[in-house]
Amino acid sequence: MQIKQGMTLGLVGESGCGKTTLSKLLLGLEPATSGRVTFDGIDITGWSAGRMRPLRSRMQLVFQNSVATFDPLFTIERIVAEPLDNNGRLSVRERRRAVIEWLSLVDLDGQVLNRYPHELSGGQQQRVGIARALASRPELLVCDEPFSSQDFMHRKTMLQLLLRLKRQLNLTYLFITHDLSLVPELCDEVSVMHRGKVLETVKGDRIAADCNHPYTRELWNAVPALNPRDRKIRF
Amino acid sequence: MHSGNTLLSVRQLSIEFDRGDRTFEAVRGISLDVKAGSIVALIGESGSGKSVTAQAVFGLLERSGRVTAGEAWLGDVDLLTRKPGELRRIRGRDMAMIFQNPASCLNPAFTIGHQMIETIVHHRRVSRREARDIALVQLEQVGLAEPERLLRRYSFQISGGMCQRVMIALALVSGARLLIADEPTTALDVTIQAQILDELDRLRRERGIGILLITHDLGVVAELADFVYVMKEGEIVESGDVYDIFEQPKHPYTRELLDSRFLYERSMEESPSSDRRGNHAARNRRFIQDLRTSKEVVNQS
Repeated sequence: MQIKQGMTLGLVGESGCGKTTLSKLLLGLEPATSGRVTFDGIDITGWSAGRMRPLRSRMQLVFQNSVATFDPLFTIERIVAEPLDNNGRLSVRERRRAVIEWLSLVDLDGQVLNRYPHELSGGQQQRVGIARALASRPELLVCDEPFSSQDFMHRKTMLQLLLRLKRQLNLTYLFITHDLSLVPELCDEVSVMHRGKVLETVKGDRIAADCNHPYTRELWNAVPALNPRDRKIRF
Repeated sequence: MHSGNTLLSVRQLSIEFDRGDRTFEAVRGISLDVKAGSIVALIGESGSGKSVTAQAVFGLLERSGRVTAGEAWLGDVDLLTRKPGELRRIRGRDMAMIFQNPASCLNPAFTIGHQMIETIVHHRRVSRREARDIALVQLEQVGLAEPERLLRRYSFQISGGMCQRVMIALALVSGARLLIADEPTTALDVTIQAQILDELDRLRRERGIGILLITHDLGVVAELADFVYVMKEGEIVESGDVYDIFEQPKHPYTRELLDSRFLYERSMEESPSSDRRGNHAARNRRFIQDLRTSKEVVNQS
């Protein structure tokens, strides 16, 4: 599979099909037994963690449960500032300013700086997770089921935020999800995975029309209808 | 469509919670009906009070919460005035509830079979052997293959979808007429979700069970519901037939909820309507400009 710069690639399939493992392979977090992974033309297959480090800041992850990746004893300022410190030393003042800018980019104001993760709402925690990922200035952002268990209103706000950031910062997205309902609007292309294999890759807005594989059709048919008149599951 | 007898009738229900030394009114005077053989959806954002409503009806409110007014009639019994022991009997016999996270409702230390048989023996006067037979039939009825083998397994050995089916089977062993389903498919994959929705639909059609479906997922509502109540900040702001709600929503909040199914129908640009947002956007633009310049410097060096 290929992810071209500036695009959003969806990776869909049911749980246990290997979506997350594949994303770890791409990021060099999981060793490959065969095959090659290249990033920006560099073959990174089998690179050690140390060797990956300089590239690491160029690819970042956004998790479903961001708060689990925060140190509960760190303030929000310190959480977002960590990646900043990796790229050279900043004065306390510069650092604070940069953190405020990154938070502002995800629509959080400076008031959260001195708070701890547990003091924030779930939505704010996710925004902090995105700000931290962005602070290391990535080009590729891997979003692993980022908002799949949230209510529609919230999910919409967060997805719109991600789309805005993508435009503003020229990001490339790999979007891992089992929820196909947003694929047409969200993804330029989508790869369908089943039992460890990518079955096919189709244009996001053509998923219903262009899919060749019966499994893709099955997945698409399982997506609930948007209107009661289009009910799919009945009888 | 909404033709059966009324099973559950909630009238002017209010619920309050203690928050430190203050109280917080989570539900304010809501009324709703569930008829036999119908699926009634209660929808709204998280925090709108929909789950709390279900918990109150089912007698599962947390300690800090209490019903301050209203009635909830299941047939000729007001559930809100029953003693805990009596309510426990009603819960097994006449109504059942399933939850978002089925695995956490099963005890990982006992086999599925043990838990099902315990439940059946408790609610019906049958021997363990008879209870086992009932369990097998129930598991088959909710579409689980090899029920014999399943009875010997533990909850952590089976998938989330299977757990939810076991919960549905368990909820219905005693012949409940009312099923309260609180986000029953939110934690499941879309293919498994479709199967569970199908299952709920079949229960309603074939057994005439009335289902109160609590969800924020409008797709689930579109697929399954006959009648919809829209809840916002503890109040029901609109109710109606599912087609009317989706096609002619009257309340602005309902329209907003329905809009949230799509990403794009509104302008994605930052709205310049308020000064604060305007400043915010301008500031972000400057920051992004700085980032771009600094990146060029890095690339040139």
